[in-house]
Amino acid sequence: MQELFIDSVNQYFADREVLSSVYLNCKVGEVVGLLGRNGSGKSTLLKIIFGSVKANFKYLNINNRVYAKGYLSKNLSYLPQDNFIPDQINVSQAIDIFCKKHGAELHQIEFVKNYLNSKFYNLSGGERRFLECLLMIYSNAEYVLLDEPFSQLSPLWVEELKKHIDGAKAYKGFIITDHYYKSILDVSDRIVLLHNRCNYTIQNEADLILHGYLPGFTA
Amino acid sequence: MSIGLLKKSLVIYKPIFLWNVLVSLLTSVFFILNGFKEPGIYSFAIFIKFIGWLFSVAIYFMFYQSTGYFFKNHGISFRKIMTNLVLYDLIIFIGILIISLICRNSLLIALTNILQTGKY
Repeated sequence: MQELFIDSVNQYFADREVLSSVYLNCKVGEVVGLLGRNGSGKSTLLKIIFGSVKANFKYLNINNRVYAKGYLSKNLSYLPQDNFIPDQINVSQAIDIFCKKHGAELHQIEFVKNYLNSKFYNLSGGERRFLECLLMIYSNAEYVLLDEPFSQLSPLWVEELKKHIDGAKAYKGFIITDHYYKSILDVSDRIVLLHNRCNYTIQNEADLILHGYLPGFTA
Repeated sequence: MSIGLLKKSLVIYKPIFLWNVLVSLLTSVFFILNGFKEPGIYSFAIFIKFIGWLFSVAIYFMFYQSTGYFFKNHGISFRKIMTNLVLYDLIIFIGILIISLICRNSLLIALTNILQTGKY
């Protein structure tokens, strides 16, 4: 079974426990939305899966192989919150480097066509974010972790990104986290909420209210 | 060591490569002037090269924020990048030394002339 899963994640920052026995899985062909309040450990969990943060304990399995760091599988892409593509390379080079398998899909996008020869330092923050998101969506890896992909983007581009994620999920698995929860609810097949250091499966918006993620709960 | 990684490293780490080539050229001057005979000068030259690599690591950390995830998204760790940078540099350094050994006489005359011109 083609699947990424991480189990028994425990993470402390000094004396504060951020994640306790957290479990998350993602299959090829599905989009998993990860929600949670500020400081609930969403980004930390993605970094632990990718391998840029070392957890106190975790068990990471990608396509039936155990990894200490997800990126060593060469089958995992990660979009961090900050820009990560060096300024000096241009869009065309970035596509060649990241998207050998699915570069053709990227070349069909009007925005990409117009900026093929532009270097990243010539792009605005939003344009850069949009391109970095597209590069990760169409990267060679089978699993993609997107940390706040919709931030800095105009509504039109958010909608376009959602379409691309929906198209690419036919051959990829996505784990997405963002504070634009409505976009996450739209694009995801399954929602997981990080709350009180644990993970909860969410069925609908009412569950988000129940767990205190959205306002409106009265006891 | 792979050509693909060399290409990516060259695009991203131009400053580190340039720095290492400059240090290699400086180090090779010691070898040429002393005719590859003096162990003391050898040790000093190798020491300079070693310090050059330490500076490379420092330069790498200056760019880490913007390049760390770029390489990790290709499954390449910090240790692998640094090992490769040092290996590529060693190849360049050995190349410079071989060329300077082959062309030692002409380089020695040129260097002596340059040094004397500088002196007067």
